[in-house]
Amino acid sequence: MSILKIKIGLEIHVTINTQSKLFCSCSTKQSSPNTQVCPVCLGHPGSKPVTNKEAVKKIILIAKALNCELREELIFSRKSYFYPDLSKNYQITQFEEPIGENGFFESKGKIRIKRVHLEEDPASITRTNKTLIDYNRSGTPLAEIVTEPDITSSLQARAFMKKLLRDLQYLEVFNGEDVIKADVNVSVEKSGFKRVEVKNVTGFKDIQSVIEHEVRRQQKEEVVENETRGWDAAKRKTYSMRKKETEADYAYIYEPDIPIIDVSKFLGVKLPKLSDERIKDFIEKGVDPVDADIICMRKDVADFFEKTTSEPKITSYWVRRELLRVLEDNAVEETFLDAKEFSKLIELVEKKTLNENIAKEILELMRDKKIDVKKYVEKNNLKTLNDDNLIEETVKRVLKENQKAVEDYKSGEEKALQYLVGQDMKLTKGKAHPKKTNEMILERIE
Amino acid sequence: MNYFLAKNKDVKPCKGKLKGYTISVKDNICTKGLETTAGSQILKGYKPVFDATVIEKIKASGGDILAKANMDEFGFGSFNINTHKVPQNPLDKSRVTGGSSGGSAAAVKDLDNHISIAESTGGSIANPASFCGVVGYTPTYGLVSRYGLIDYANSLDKIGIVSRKVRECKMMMNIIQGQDFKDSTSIKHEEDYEKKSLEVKGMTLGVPKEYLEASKEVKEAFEKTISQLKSKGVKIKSVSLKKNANYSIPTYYLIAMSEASTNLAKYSGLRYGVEGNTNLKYNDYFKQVRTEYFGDEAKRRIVLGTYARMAGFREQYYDKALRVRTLLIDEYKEVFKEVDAIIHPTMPMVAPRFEEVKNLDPLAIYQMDLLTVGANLGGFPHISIPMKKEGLPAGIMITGNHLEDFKVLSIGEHIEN
Repeated sequence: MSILKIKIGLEIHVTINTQSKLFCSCSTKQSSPNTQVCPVCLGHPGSKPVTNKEAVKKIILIAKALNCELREELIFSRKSYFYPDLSKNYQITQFEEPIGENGFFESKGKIRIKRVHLEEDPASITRTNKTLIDYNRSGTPLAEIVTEPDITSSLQARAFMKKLLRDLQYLEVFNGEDVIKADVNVSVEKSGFKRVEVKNVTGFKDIQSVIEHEVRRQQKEEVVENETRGWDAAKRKTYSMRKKETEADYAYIYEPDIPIIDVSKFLGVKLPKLSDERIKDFIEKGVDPVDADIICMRKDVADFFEKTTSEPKITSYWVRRELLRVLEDNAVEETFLDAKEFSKLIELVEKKTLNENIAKEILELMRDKKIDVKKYVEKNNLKTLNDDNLIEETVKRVLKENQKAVEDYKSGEEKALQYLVGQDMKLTKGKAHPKKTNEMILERIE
Repeated sequence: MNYFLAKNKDVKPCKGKLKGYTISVKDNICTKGLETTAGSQILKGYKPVFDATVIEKIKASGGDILAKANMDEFGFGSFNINTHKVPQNPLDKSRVTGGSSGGSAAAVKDLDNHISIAESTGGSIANPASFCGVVGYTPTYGLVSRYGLIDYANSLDKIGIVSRKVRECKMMMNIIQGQDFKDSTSIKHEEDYEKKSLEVKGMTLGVPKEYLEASKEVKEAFEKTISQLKSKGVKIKSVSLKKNANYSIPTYYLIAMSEASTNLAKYSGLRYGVEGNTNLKYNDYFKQVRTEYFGDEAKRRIVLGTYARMAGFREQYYDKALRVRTLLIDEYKEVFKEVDAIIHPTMPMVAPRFEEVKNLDPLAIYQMDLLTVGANLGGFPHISIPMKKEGLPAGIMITGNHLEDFKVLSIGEHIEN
């Protein structure tokens, strides 16, 4: 079987996480419909756009992280089209002179980045029996990232998007919870690589599905045409929107309300370490590559791990399993978790002065309030019982009070041992030295 | 005489520096709660939720707005006849006021102690000032905030002043000038325009030889003014603005219409202004609203402006016009190296009669803007001062280099006296 040759290019739209909108001071926070609005983002006659510097700095970070050639001037254009989600019936975007061009991004191979530019998001539309428009989103800054058709499989596309979003988090320009949207172009060798673009696909699962669906469709069809298609997420298939000859003409002009912005002073900005570099750092410290990858999925978690002082490999295990468990969907910053105290907790377990299960319970408390681990263990008398006499005394009592379980174990029921240990822990509130307890019980039964 | 559109029923008498005056403002400048239509039926009933920056400043100085001044729809016109309620020239009701700020000029002519805030894109202040015999001043682009000005062509629109005397322009300029963070194209440059005028004696004024084609009566008045200036010790020098004479009209109209056609896209009866038949689908709905409520000139400029920026034509028209604009500005700048200011008639004729302009084709009307377009395209400060003493009025236009507004006002005041 010959290998299928496919070319995939992505045009990705990512919401940049600024405090206020791109051209007005309205907040970008979630809110009830049409409450974060003003004359500018509603397109009232006479209102004028004023560019948000935070968004400008962030688009430069993005273009830089994607290894683009950068322009010293930020120039906006007007893209004209009539659609109910556009308050002005034109969108302020960049056209001839995007802020970044000719970059690349490594993700299972080198993917060339054609351009990166800054633009405003339109309003959001909900269609019921009516069309409802929420202008809260109108004017939110978007980064548009366009790749060359260098991606060769749906899996590579997915990996690319995942890594891209991860790095955008590392740049602190993107909130993980925002959905990502993309126009996906797919072409196959069989059709002589006729370019088919699928507009407005939301989320990476659907992006992957669109690619798989289009490859199947284009392989099957007699004639593939250059065209623009839409994605029916419910029916899981694409449909034709317009053929090449009727390609939309946006009749761009330069945005005359915004003078050219000199951004040369922002171009020297230093990039923070991105995920690949962080993963490499952690592996060098002895962390298992798989664990390093999982830890670096989230920047807040990677930052937390970096601040810990306990032995890296053991700590990485705790971060991956326990920290992620107690965090749930919260960012580290939203909790009381502290890397130094977290390390102390692990060290207590490692020194066998604290039982693991108790440590896990303490970790949950540390999420919700500030805790000095050592003091807390001391105060609540939670240290592991290490005194052989004390352990023996409890074991004796457990065996005496649970004669039936002892008999069960002797008659071959392995589970009975766990039950006995459990009873012991109940009496000691989980503090008995687990290994010693186990050994002592066995010694006495057999 | 129809020079006002909406009137402010609750107008308060002006206080402070503006005491004794009434103030009107061109209808394309937003006034909170007071109907603002930019002379268009499509914005009928629209009451802005905010005051334009200039209005805020006037109010902060003790002023209030008496009424909205009539204008050609969105500023599209030279005679103020592209409106649903055509104003008449106070000096002869069978004649036009000029445009597009016709309401402002007519009101100032008709009412004592009245100042009007107007706006010019290609000559819309100087033109009606000339036809109505009043002073019309257009500042350097960027000196006055455009926040709250309903856009015609953003890179060309300038808010200015119409008054009886230059002194009143200076007073009002002191109030409305200043950089505004809400208008990114406004610039940081403030001056006390009410200080003593510059000595005009010894200045050199340039007369562009291409800008002298005018009616006999206008020519005579201009020549008379020139000889008076000479007798007062002003040097007159013949200069050339050949490129502007040849290319400023097409360049201006290409840029202005391209920008205008995008600015007008928002008027679709969706969120403000008139409402159409809401049973229609989106495309049919806005098509119906725009067909019914835009005037012919607005439609013409949308079509031409859209054409000039479409793929395949943009390079040839819109992009080229932008490049030519730079050349035309450079030509003015070259002349300003040799002269203090440029003077020529504002309009080549006195105010025409309604029946004279009724049958003019659009191209002929666009050509009439020749004398005012160059200064506007370059964002140069200019003022029109009545120069013709007998019969119908005509203005002389004084254009200065960027930010030399005070010099332009000083020369204007000198000619006025």
